[in-house]
Amino acid sequence: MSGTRSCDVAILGSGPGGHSAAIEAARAGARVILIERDSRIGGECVHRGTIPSKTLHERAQAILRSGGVPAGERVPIDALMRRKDEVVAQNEELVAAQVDSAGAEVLFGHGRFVAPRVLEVRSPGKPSLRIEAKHVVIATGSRPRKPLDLPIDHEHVLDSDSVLAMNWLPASITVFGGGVIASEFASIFAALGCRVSWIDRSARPLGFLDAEIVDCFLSNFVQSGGTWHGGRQVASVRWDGLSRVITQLDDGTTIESEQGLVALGRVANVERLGLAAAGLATNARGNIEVDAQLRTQVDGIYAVGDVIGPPALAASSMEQGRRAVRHMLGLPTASNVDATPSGIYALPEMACVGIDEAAAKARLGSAVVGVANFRDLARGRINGVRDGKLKLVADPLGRKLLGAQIVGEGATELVHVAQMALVGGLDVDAFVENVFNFPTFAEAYRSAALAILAARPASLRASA
Amino acid sequence: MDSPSASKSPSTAPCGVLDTLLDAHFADGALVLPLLPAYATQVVALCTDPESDARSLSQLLQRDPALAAHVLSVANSAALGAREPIVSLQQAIARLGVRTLANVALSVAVRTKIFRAGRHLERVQQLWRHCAHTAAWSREIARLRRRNVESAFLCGLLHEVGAPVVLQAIDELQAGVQLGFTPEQVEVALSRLHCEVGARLVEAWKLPACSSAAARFHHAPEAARSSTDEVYTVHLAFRLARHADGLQELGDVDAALAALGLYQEDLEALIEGSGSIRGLAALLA
Repeated sequence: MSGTRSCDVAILGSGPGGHSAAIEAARAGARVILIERDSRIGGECVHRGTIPSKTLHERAQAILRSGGVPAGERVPIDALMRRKDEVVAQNEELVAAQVDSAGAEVLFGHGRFVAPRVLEVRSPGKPSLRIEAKHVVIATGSRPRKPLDLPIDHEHVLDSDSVLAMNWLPASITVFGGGVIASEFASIFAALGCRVSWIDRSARPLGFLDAEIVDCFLSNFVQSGGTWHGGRQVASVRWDGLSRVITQLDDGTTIESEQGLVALGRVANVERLGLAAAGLATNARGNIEVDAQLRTQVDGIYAVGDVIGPPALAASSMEQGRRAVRHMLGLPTASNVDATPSGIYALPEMACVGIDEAAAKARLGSAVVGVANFRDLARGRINGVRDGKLKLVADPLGRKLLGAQIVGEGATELVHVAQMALVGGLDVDAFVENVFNFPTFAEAYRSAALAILAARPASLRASA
Repeated sequence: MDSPSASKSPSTAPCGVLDTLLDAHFADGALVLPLLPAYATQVVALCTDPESDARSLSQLLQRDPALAAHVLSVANSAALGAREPIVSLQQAIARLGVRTLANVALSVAVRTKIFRAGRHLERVQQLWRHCAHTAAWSREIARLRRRNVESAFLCGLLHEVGAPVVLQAIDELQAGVQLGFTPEQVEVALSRLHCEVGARLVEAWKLPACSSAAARFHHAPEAARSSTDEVYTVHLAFRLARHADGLQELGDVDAALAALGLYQEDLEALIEGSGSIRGLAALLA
């Protein structure tokens, strides 16, 4: 141990939650040390998650817009990956500049607890350093889960990290999993001209999303040449030793592909943190428990992002990092409105905010729903969209907005209109009484709202 | 590089002559990558035996840097009408199919110059074994880091591809000028040139850029300005292979670990889990 440093806030991990916490704390005047285990700042989000996969999504979308991959042609994956690497490097620089400009210090090394709020940081070839902090934020993120029955070798059967290092595009790929990451990659590969076989034990992917939205997405996937094997169990997966990944399903189906991609969830990076020395433990799901203020059970130690479990979104992790710091420093925080949107960067995109039709009916007994199809919008026809819809969910009186679900081009941007309406407590009428640009996809809000107004109970329609 | 085994010639060339001759030899861009006779024989046997297993050819490709480089070069040629760059052996198998690949390998084995520098043959055979080990270690490092395993493997396999080019050239020059070169002179020349010659060959054959970076910088990874991930991977794999073969202490690999975001416990896990690499070593011994 070469020395001891003290600080106000020590943060383990420089992903969205960690760097957001570092910037917030440093801007508030705290002495901040941000500890990153990897050799580069930014965490999984910048290097192997959100940023690179969304860059691939954008390129695949551009290919679709230009008419798709001609039969017999192959997409030059090296150009896609070069673009991805450029964007990753730019984002790494951006995060580093933001952290530096806020005044936080970055230490590259492996940080672990040796006592509550006392960390040891080790780096190859350097003496270890002891850091005594008034507060600690754990933001070490997650990594892809490796199911024991699937032979992930990062060579023939990849995970969501190694797939981003791909340097040639397989002609066929089998995707395992029914969550967000599987949906994104399955649809992106289909758009790039791969023959995609997509397998999950659920009858429908993305079980947390409105079924109508998911069905529209699945229909697009199938039209792109993909095959959905829903409600199937995988009996075995093996590499044939030469050129094929062979997958056997429980119904006897055999699927052959050049590569496989396993996307069956993520696990928190907590094993090497020395949690016991801090008096911490993980729950049954392997996550760190926190309260509404992101506090762990140990005084002065907070946890944010993927280590605390769902929603495990980059945006929510950033907000958690910010809120944790504001709480520990005694700074005011706005009341937490439950209006965090979810975005799925598949092709087509999906997004939602608030609650969906099924949840509204379960909670309130009934709901009034309005749907707008993108193909009925002028902008949809201009853009030549194949499909897409926006669904607004209102209370049983058809007045109060409860949520929005969207599938189609621009869904992850479009959802923020509904988010602001929810935060502002606007009625559905606001979408009708205000003017949107023409032609835009935002017009879908007006169309869906008009459908809700038309479906309102008769007694309310006259007063609307 | 291993210690030299070349024998002395009765009439030893003055100091500096070999460097001058080699610089002139390589200045005109003449880079000939010979096949080792034993590998060429195996290729011919495998590709002409209707009973042979396709996997055997695949495995041979993954053990012989020269054959791998030649096959990838042909696979990328206009003659085969590749619609995309072929950047890995696995991709070559997937795209061309084993039958076409066997024909390519056979053509390479028949047409390519055979390594004739008999005095250096054992040396190159050792190097090839070392390359196969380095490739296997590179693959495991990439696997641990969830990076591109195929790319790391190819970079490891090709990192010393310049050595037989240089040795063959030395042998031909020696015959041409009727002078002998001492083992020390050969060793110095080889050390000086094998990285650059290997990288130039990989570039000239339009093989993946990361493999030329690994060939050029595997002894000095800090000098690499691109493909640094692959370069440090091969550098660490090179050290691990030498260490596992009992040729060299592992020594200080802190810079490589830091560059790759690895720690001592990762290194220990790599070494502990290296059973498959030891199996390969036994196979090649």
